[in-house]
Amino acid sequence: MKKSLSNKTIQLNYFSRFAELTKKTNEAWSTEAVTVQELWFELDAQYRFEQEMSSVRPAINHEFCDWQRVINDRDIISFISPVSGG
Amino acid sequence: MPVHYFELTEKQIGRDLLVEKFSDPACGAFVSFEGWVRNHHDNRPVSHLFYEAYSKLAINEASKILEQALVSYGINSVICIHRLGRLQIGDMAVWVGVNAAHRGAAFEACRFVIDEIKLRIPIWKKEYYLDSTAPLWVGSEVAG
Repeated sequence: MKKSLSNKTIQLNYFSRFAELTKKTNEAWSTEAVTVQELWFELDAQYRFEQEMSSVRPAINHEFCDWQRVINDRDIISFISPVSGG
Repeated sequence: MPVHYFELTEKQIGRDLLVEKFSDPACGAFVSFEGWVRNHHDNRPVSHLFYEAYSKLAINEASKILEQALVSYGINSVICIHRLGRLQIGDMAVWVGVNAAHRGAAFEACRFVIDEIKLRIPIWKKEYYLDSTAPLWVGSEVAG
């Protein structure tokens, strides 16, 4: 897939530790990141998540996705830290 | 009538009403699992818990788990309810019910559902302790 450097505005939703670290439950974010992996590095640099990427799962538009998933304008994106339900 | 659904609730889970949904003359087995809040974790005394979820993703992912259970084990019905918010020691945090023609499928499917729920569903548990240690998001390395 051809990579685009176009700017996108996405919505980020934060939960549990990530909500506490960012002090936000959501925010609009402008990015040139092409994949969710690139976006993770961008956010990690901003907020210092202190969480191994291997223990995190990305989600786009309320479904899990892989790290190479391409971001589109207006996507809703979350990073899921280790879960502990039950 | 077969049913299968997953629900998140901030209210107490009412097991009796749930069990009634499993009455079916074609089913000879009903198995349920209840997860209760215990008063200790890693040798620390727990005072209470707080559960948070990414609801839309949780419901989407849970529906896949229940569908997988129906297909893989040939069960009749499956319901899973998970609590959110503040829970006290002894409260029921999660309930799974399964019925099937025979007990083998019901036991295995119930085990499968609770294991997958704990592994895959975006629900987070924050533990609060009676000692001086800071509250902890379970599964995370950092107190907060």
